Amino acid sequence: MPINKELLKGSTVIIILGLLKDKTMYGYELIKEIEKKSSGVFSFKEGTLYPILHSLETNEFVESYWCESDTGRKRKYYKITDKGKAQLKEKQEEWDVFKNAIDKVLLEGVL
Amino acid sequence: MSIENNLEIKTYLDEVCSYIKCKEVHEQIKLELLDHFEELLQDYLESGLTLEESINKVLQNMGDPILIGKQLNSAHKAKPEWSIIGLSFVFSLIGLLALFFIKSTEFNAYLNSAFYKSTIFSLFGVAIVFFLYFFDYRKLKKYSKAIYIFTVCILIIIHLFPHSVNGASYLHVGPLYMDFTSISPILFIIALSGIFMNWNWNDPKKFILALILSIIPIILMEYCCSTMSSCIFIAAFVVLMIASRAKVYQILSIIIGYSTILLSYVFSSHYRVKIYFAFMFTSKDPSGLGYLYIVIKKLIHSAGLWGNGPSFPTTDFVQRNGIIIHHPSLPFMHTNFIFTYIIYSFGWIVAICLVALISLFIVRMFKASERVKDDYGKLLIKGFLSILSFKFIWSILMNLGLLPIVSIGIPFISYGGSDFITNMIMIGLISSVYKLKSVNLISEQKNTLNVK
Repeated sequence: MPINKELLKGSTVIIILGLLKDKTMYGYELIKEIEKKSSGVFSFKEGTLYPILHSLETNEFVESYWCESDTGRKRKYYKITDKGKAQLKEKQEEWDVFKNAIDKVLLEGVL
Repeated sequence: MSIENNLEIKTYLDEVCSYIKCKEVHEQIKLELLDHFEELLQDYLESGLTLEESINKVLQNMGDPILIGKQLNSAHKAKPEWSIIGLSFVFSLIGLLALFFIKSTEFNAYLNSAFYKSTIFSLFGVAIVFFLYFFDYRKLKKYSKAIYIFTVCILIIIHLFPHSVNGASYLHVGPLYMDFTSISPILFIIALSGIFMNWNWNDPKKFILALILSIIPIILMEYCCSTMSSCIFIAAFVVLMIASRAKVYQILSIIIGYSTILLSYVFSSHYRVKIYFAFMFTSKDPSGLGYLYIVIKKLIHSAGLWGNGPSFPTTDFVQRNGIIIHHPSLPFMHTNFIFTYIIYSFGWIVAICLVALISLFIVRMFKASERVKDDYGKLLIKGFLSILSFKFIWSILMNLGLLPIVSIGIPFISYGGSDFITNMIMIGLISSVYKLKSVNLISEQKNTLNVK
């Protein structure tokens, strides 16, 4: 079921930081991970990922470095910073509060 | 499968970049997107589509180039480091203000013109910072060796044709008089930042070469009678060594080596020992070598929290014919002792606030150097930072009577044309480096990691 774009917009940062917390990745890899982990629910327009990654870097939540693969091609990897981990924690708490509140409202509504 | 020359992909990438104002990131953005394209293309080709169809699918998947271009543009908006630039302007204003008050006590015709000259220098300085902000500092890198050799030559010329002003050897070029020797550490640092980039400290030959590169300027500066400049130079040199990842034993040997040379130079002459350590033993020669330190202590102790108001501390001397003449208690109030003047006139509260601002300035510069990715830029900022910190710390402590008096002024605040201009050049270059801080220079990266 296609997810409403508005819902997705607010959550991209937490999704990306959440995945980078465990592993350093490059853009394409990140997109595939998001699709896999969400079982296809989140399917990004790939180009929109890069402005987000670059903004995260400007805000020092992630840092990047270039790596030369065995085929000679240069690839840019992204790694979460301590500041990014703190931001992720904050966003996660925010999400938990939000999620619980909605669940409670819906539950109350049913009763 | 290399598709960089495919027309559709090229057009797409060019369109994205056309919305990104920061030209320096174009290359790396194209590289990153191209990498993504190639991976996607691989997937589609493997699933059986033709090249033509795959490329179309890939471009579709990427999304609207205009949108991506605009979003990337806002992610790469260049933000100047306002606190560093702003604080340097604030310090210059404070200097101008202090000079204004000194002038208005109408003591010395020379000081009158100093105020107007300083105003012109300040305006010139603002223009320099503005101009250098838009200058690409990376263009300097290829001139590193040339700058080093140029500075060495000028120092030799000064030594061979000395033009002494107040004991310092000045460079005389037409109508301009420049204390080139005190400017030379900065030029050397600019040169050495480029030279020490990617310097292999593991190679013993490189270490010896570095030693030679450090000794030549020191010998020349000593010949031009500026021990202070050589101390500043060595401090900055050591910082550059640390920042370019020299070995600990190499750094220690340079520090210990030069300290030994400096100390043996000072202790080799009984007279020199007396001069340099006079600040500790002012009572031994109160009317001679210890005199100025006693005056400083007296002035700052009489300041109180809010100072004596903008005034010019004078001492009365009775001449033999009975006439009383007023003498400024401290010479060089507008240069070496401007901080003492500020304490005397405006009190300790103002002085402590000023020290707090200066500390903030130094901290911000350090933080900026950490945020910069380019090694050359990092070395430049750290080198400049060490020069400015050394001057700030020594001049302030000297103005409190806690360190030997040498010919050094507080950066930006003290009056002094050539020093002020060079300080502004440093600020301008630092802003240029900071502006391009996130531009990851791909060709310069040392790819040591192998992730997979």
